[in-house]
Amino acid sequence: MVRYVIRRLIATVGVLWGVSILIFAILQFTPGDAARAQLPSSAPEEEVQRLRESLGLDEPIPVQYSIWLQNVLQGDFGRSYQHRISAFGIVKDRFPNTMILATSALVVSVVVGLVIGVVAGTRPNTLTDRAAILTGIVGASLPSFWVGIMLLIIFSLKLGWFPAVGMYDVRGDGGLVDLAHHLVLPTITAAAVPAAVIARQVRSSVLEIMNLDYIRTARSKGLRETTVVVRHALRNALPTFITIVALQAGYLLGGSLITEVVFSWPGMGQQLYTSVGARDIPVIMTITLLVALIFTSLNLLADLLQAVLDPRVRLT
Amino acid sequence: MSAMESEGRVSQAKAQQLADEIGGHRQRSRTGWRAVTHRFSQDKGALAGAIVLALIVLAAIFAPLVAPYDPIESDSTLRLEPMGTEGHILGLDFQGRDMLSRMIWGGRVSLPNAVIPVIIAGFISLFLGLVAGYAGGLLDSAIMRSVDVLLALPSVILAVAIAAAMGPSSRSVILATTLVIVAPLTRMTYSATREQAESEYVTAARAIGVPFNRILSRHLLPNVFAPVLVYATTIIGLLVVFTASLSFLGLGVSPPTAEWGLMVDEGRRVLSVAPHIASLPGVMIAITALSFNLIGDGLRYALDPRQQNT
Repeated sequence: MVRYVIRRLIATVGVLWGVSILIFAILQFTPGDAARAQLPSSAPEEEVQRLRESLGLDEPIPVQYSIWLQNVLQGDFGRSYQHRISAFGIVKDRFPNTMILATSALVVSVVVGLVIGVVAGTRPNTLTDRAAILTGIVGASLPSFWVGIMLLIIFSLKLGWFPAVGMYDVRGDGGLVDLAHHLVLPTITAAAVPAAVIARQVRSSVLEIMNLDYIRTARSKGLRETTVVVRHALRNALPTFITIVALQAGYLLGGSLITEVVFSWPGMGQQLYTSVGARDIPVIMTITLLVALIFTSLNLLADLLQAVLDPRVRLT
Repeated sequence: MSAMESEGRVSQAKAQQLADEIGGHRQRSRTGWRAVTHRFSQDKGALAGAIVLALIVLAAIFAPLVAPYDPIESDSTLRLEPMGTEGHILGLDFQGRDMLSRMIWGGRVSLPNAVIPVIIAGFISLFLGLVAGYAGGLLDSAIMRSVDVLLALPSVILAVAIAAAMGPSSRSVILATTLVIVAPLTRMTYSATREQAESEYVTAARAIGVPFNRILSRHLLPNVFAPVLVYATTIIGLLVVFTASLSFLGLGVSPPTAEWGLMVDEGRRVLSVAPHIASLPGVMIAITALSFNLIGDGLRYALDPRQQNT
């Protein structure tokens, strides 16, 4: 187990290093002078030249990369072209808000997806099962930003049940109730599509397990169906579930970013939208790197959990 | 593949004779394809998807003939008019442009945005996956570790980073989307190749001295192609939604061009007075994606009936 953990850790660091090269490469293709763009247009030429030197922009590419990487590792991603302040500072303030929305959506989509998937998978070819399949395929076809807009039109503009924008009411106390009220529609929006996908994948993995011999053995021993499903089938499906959920967690993070735009949720996604409009490259790359870090850690966590639950994994 | 097809030099008559001699061989392979088309046509969902998609594609191709109005020409007296307005069955947008015409014209941008990346990425991935899977060693590590890096980023964020650096345009969306799907497609080709590379016919080919290139192109490629093709078909539906999301975020074509994702974004500004402007293009995206998904599912089942329940 220890050897497996060490191997996975090294692989993760390797992947993150690769991501840093990828982002640096994308930066190279961005037109314009990075030093000039980070300073006010009134800045004198000497100051631009000084920044250019400190960023190493006159150095060969590999040297530039190592300077850039050192800065990034110290949390210095350069200055926002738009606001002329630290890009990391801007993103850091938005980060917790994105995590609130993503976590809430993850919990909802996992619970809904697992329940539908297990129910459908244990009752193949019934009406419930067919309904679940249909929901799955329709759900995978819906653009999440459009689902959000539809919810917004119906439940906010027409019915007035939920607020349309933001995290807190301007006149509110900023308490948990206020937050929860604002969280409902964005959570449903971000959770809908992943829930459908999770349900679909869980269904097929449960279905596969329910056809195995040991389930028939458990049944023929006279165990109750609930015991067979919960204690025998689901225990065996657990590692698969974790892989499914970890993968969806990544998509969900991406989906939350788009959902934020629809509901003006003050997180990284909304920042990304404004920064794309202003072509604020340092902020965009900071968000990219941060999301990659979260996503990679989630994958690592999933791999380790899987190794704990399924000893066979440790050998591969 | 029948004996006749693999022997390109024989004359037609001789080929016929050969086929008759082998007897039923040709017949049998045809039954295989007939069975596939038969299973596909029995799948009501897939059939419905194919018909709806055909209509959408035809409408987009013949947009100048089909669309009742010019997609960019505006009538400011009819701004924000709702669905059912006389002469404009789906209403008008915030500049007084006909919604139906814009949705028909939008397909000319939105459909290629989703389909072109699959074609480009398909070729790249087949090449990379085959080479990595069969050559092994340093090439294998270099290609597959790069794939790992691409897979370490959620697809939305990777595409946004690339498209934002390149500047907003349809070309950026297509390029970014291509890069996003090259990784999973390459990994798929790679594992299919690895599986085939260990089979006896490849060992046999290598043993009689068939050169590397020829093993790749004549022996491995035909056996790896089918699963990759099916997978590529099934992801087009996802890409319809994905590329529309990128346009929605402002990374695709610029106004006043009609594109479904961009139209949803434009409609957001007037949501409370004219909800149809943001709603309708979204319906179009969903119907198109659903059609592709139904076709993909039908195709997967038609080619491999054992998968029906999984």
